[in-house]
Amino acid sequence: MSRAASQIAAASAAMVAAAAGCFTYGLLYLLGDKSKAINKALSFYTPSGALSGVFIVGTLVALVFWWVLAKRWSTRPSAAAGAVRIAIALLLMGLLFTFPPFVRFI
Amino acid sequence: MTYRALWTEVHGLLFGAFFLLAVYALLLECLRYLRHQAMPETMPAWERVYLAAAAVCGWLAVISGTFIVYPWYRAPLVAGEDIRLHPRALLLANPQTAMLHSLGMEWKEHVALLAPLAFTVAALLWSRYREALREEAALRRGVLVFMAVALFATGVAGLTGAFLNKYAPVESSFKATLEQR
Repeated sequence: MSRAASQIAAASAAMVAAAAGCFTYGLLYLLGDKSKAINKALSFYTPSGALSGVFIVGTLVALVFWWVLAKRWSTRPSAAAGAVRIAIALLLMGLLFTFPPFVRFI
Repeated sequence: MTYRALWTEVHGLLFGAFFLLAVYALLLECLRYLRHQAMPETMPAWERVYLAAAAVCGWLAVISGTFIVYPWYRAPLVAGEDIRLHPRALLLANPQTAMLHSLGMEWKEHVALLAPLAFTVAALLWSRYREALREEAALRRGVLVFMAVALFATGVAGLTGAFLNKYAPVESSFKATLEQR
């Protein structure tokens, strides 16, 4: 793989991984709002409540996705345009899921 | 200034404000190179340091907010305690300010998490994968969207934080304690 192609694969992996982390932040907030059990399970640090779990799990999801995708796409790169579309979709869904009126509506 | 007020200022005005400025600057850079100008092959070392420092500030703003300032804000009100020691309870007690918690704080605490992650990946691509950005227009557009979301999230968090600090500052604990004495 050329240097440019390997950079494109690595950049796409980082972008999709970060978007997956952002999506996870939003999804966990939504799930924690709907279920008391999930809310309690996410309270890793009691004084901060579920927010601590949302932050820690979402960040870990981003790091794991980054590691897995970077490894996978270093040998079988995906099309950058498709990866960017997926990343933007995940990012915008994550943004929407953090909006309290939307969370209460669904 | 009280210990709590100091941490609130460090969280919002030091880490948060520096991060907001950097997000805005990188968004402008993304716009500049989206269509109008060819992106240079290299970037000066100081710009890399600046982007790295801004990303660190973003993460520190979120970490200090989540684990230091937020617990003071949401501390439960125990019967007999001064309500001014509990900003969340204080806001919810008044229908005119309840929305500052139910919409403002709830949105702020979660949307703010997106900003450092979105910024960090954009800064990483900007400083480390420039060849990829020069080659792929889709990646340049992606970085632009990430930066727009980071700016929006930081703006919401900063503005809401300013309102909250005006109506229910966490520093009120010290004043209230003095008044009680």
